[in-house]
Amino acid sequence: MDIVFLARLLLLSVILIGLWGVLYKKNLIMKIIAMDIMNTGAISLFVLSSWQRSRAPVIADSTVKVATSDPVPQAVILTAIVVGFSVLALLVVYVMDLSRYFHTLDTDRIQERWKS
Amino acid sequence: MEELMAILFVSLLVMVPFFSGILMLAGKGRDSRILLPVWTATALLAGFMLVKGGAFHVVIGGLYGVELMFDTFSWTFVLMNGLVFIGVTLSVKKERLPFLACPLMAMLHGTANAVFISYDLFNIFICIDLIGILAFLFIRLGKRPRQIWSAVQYLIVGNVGMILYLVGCLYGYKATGSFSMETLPAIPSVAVYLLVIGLSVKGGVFLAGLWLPEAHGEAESAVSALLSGVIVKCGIAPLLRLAELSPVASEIVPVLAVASAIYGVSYAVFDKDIKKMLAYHTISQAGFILAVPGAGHLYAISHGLFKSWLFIAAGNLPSRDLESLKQDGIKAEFWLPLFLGALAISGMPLLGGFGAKSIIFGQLSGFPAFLMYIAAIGTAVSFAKIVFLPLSAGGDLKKALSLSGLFFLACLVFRDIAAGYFVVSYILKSLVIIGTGWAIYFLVTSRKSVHLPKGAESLEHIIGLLFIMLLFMIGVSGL
Repeated sequence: MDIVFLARLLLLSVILIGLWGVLYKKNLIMKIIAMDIMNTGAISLFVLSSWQRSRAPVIADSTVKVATSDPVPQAVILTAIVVGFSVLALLVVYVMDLSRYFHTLDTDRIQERWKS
Repeated sequence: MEELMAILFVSLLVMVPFFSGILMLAGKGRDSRILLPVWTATALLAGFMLVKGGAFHVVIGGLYGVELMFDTFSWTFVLMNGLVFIGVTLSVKKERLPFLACPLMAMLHGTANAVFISYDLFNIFICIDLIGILAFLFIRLGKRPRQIWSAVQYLIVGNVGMILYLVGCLYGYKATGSFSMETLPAIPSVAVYLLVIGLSVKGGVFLAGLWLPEAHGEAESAVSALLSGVIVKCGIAPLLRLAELSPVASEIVPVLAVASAIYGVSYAVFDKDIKKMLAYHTISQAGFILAVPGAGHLYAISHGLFKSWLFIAAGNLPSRDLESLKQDGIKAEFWLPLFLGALAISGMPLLGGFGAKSIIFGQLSGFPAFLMYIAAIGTAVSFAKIVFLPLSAGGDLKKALSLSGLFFLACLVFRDIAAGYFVVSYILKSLVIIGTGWAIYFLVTSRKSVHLPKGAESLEHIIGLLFIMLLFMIGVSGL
């Protein structure tokens, strides 16, 4: 059992913990934080996956044995981090708006308003 | 040469809408008609390339670069994007648009084009996430509390879906060393399931897309038209590509399609709220589009046109409640576009829906075909509610000839003529479907009202169902 495998298990469980939060936390702010935890788990999975010793994608001469990490996932994940952050910021702003209208952040109580 | 062409296309399809959006934002422009040339340019370019035919595939910048695909599939979606935007722009009155609507429209147009021409999984992720943010801002444009609530729900569900999609991208990359869609046949099935789930959230497909009735029903009608016409297609277009390229996805996507066609229709038949009913039909029509992955884009263009027309026409009505409309009647000028749109979606020959449905049914067989016929009859049943609305006095039929209505009608008629399926057997088949639907309406559903439970549409349940679906798929593939 190597460390990469253990780390991957850990990160998958981070995603699942985030999911649990999104499902079972009633407070909207808590839901959003849980969603961010999920996002962090996914992003860290990307960073972890660049940990490989076998293949260097950028160096043309692949016979050179240097410890390299794959730059591609690390490069693309930056964009995902930015997008995740902007979604989070947008959600927090509008949750603030919602709390002004409903004086509560409890999703059940907000949903009850339209049950009739 | 091809790379140069691709850069030219990208600047016309993506950069020009974005820059015009930024200019509108800076100039505080509220008249969306200024943007008409942008939409027209998109539509003309796509139309020209469709007529010219041929496909080319470019990786700008070489290895690990931006991968684009220009084929009939992507040009059809781009054409739909242009036409729907032209129609919606012609329909909205200048003074009715809130600030931000025009810049958002321009940016949405560009982003949707980017989704349709992208050919690598990660670029599609970024574009769809951007679409999610723009759709969020669109849904809340009316600033009513309920719109903000449904927009927040949409963004949370959509973001959870996109996180799954991201993990799917990663597993695909690890297996093949590339994000390109060309490697899709080789990526492991777990990755395909994650990608399918993520895209089906955005595409409004069965179970994962149940956020849709709430959001589409609550938003302003021009916004609903764009949501159903363009934004939903941004999830469906990559899903169609997935189903075409990956053998794993080609097995599950048609199953999801049939399920969502039946689910959407069965709720639409009994719904009394005209906008909710149209929103449920978006779910069921997503099923029609995905039922035959090879021909889905041909259905999508018709659906984009008649659904946005219907949403715009429904927005003009004095009430959303079909019961009260049935009692009071509607004026002739509001009735005509609704009537034609309802006939188009039911599959009446010469109105756009017929050619599209014929293409789908021509390629289906066996049990799925049977279920899709039921869904088509259900569509006719639920739209009979609109077709047989009584007319009230004092209407002026001449006023019904609005610019946008004529535009949509012309596009739909042209669509049907271009599809060509004017064979007696197909015409008879679609007339029988419509006739059966109307008969069922008069005999059964117009007399009874049934309330189906809607518990599955709350935020927690949609996300929960998302994961149950994922576990189910992984479980089935493991057996």
